[in-house]
Amino acid sequence: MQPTAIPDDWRTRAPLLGARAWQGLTSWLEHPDAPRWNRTMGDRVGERELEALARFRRALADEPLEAAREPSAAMAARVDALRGTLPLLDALPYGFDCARDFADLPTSSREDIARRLEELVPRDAELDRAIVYSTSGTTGHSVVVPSHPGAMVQNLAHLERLAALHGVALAPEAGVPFALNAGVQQRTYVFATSLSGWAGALLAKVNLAAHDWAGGAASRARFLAAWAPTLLASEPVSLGEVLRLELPLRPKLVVSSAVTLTPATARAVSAGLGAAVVDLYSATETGPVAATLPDVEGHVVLCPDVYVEALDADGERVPEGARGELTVTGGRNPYLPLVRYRTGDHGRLGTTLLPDGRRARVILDLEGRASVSFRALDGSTVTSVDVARTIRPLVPFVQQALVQRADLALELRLRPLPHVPISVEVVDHALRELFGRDARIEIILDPELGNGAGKLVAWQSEAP
Amino acid sequence: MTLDVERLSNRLAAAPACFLSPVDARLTGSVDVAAIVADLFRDRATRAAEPAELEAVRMAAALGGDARKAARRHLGVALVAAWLLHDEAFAGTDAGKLAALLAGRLGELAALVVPRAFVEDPDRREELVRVCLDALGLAPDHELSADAEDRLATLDSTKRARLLADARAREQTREAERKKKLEELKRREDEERLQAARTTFED
Repeated sequence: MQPTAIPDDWRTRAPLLGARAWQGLTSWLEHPDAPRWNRTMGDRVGERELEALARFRRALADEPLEAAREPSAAMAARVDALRGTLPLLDALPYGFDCARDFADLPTSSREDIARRLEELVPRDAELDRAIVYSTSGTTGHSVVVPSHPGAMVQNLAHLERLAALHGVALAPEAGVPFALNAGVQQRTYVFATSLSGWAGALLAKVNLAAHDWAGGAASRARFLAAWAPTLLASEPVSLGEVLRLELPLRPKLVVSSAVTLTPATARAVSAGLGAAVVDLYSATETGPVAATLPDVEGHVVLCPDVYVEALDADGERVPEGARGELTVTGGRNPYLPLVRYRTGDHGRLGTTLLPDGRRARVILDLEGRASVSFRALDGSTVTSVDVARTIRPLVPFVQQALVQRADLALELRLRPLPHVPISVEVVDHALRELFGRDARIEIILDPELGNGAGKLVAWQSEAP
Repeated sequence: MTLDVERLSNRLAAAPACFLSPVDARLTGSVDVAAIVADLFRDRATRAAEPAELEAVRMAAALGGDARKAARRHLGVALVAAWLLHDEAFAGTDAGKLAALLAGRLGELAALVVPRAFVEDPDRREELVRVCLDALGLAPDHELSADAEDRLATLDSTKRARLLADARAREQTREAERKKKLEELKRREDEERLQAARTTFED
């Protein structure tokens, strides 16, 4: 069969999409058991981004890691190079030395991204390549995060490194299914695409909920068995569903992120799927920060351009090994170069030795974001992502906190943007769509939300 | 001892390392700036420091949250200045003016310059000497007052920051006006184009 020409909209989205990849991709887009594809997605990766990926591969393998309590001279120089372009650093006093005075650098947070993004983006950044992510806000702030195709594609090198350290060989091929991103949600993006950074191998993002498959559960099973991914990317709730539904997936490597994967769940997933399992600590704002490795306690920071500190509530470094808020400097996103970015997650920091002899920073007792499921009146599951995605486009707000009581009554607190009115009726209507028309819902506008001591609990469910 | 700017600047350059020590009351090994300030008043001022003046210093050293870094720099500059002002030439300093210098002008300076620079950087050393003399109502030796004022104005970080901020604000206003005019121009052009199209259609 003669392959069809690559359409212009795909060429724009995936400039390096080759004939073999396209041929493979179209056969899966038209697969009789395919899920209900609802998006066309490309990685927008060009030759320059591939060069950056190659450089980052080498850096991950060879460069010294930020293993010490203090940042390296290279990391300090990196921050110093942002002076004059990053508004966040405009107020640094005369004589400020980023190496000597690193602990006096200002910190930033998710709230800053929500409210003062312009201070965190370099003035000279050429925004024409920006990809804009809207994150669902597991810590309460829903934020818009600018990113770059080059930053995204370099994450593949981190995954390769993780695979290698878990003893898994990756061999992606053009046009051949390789990776599956699987979730269980009411609504989500469902698409297939090729990955230029992995030779044009194919990635599918699917919703495991049966309603997103034209042929229901039977189609889902046939498609997943045929796709046969080497790499499965997901999160703990969906991985639990994969096991419960006994879906025909036998990946070599499972990467769980978004919320904390408990060791018990990791063992169950590993045993159930016969795969190496990685808990990846990552966020849209930071990119990958740390991950679990075999025979190493905690989450290891493998990227040489990421420096992690643990800070107290006043923004001061806690003593080595003490619990603090994980704070990240560095990364690869030219639109959001992180300077002491407070993640809202907590942990203790130590140093570990990698099999290759390099020393690395390790996060112990990582307290990431908890996975939260709510219950609709008809008994179906509504996830925090569903709620965030539903209410976020409706009205402008800075933070939210949703509590569902044991009797299924809901209380949603919203912190409005100053001087911007919020229509409570619109939010109420949207929540009823998710939870049922007769759900008991109370919506409170609270300008002080999140100002109290400690981290705001954005999602809380007491539902049985 | 004279109030010679060069000599006093050299004194700053020779400040013992302990005058650049941490000033955060929560850290072990930090310097008690309130005690140093109390000594300074006792040894050089017209009266001893009042309890409220020292309490303000102690409170600054124990501040938490976002204000902590600014307070720390303020105390750091006060500590360096205390070394300078302990020079015998400052004997009999007006206590009220000294308190105002420590609490006010040095705070403004600390927002713009790190304490270390007042020891390590020649221009900042001279600036601190001249700011202290000016705030205490003292004239530098061997200089006409107009010359001293000119020299301070040249070195004044606070004034420079203010001028830069003003210039930036003016630039932003100009840019906003330029954008507004461009938008207005574009709107008019679109309107004219639309009008021309309507006319053609009607014809």
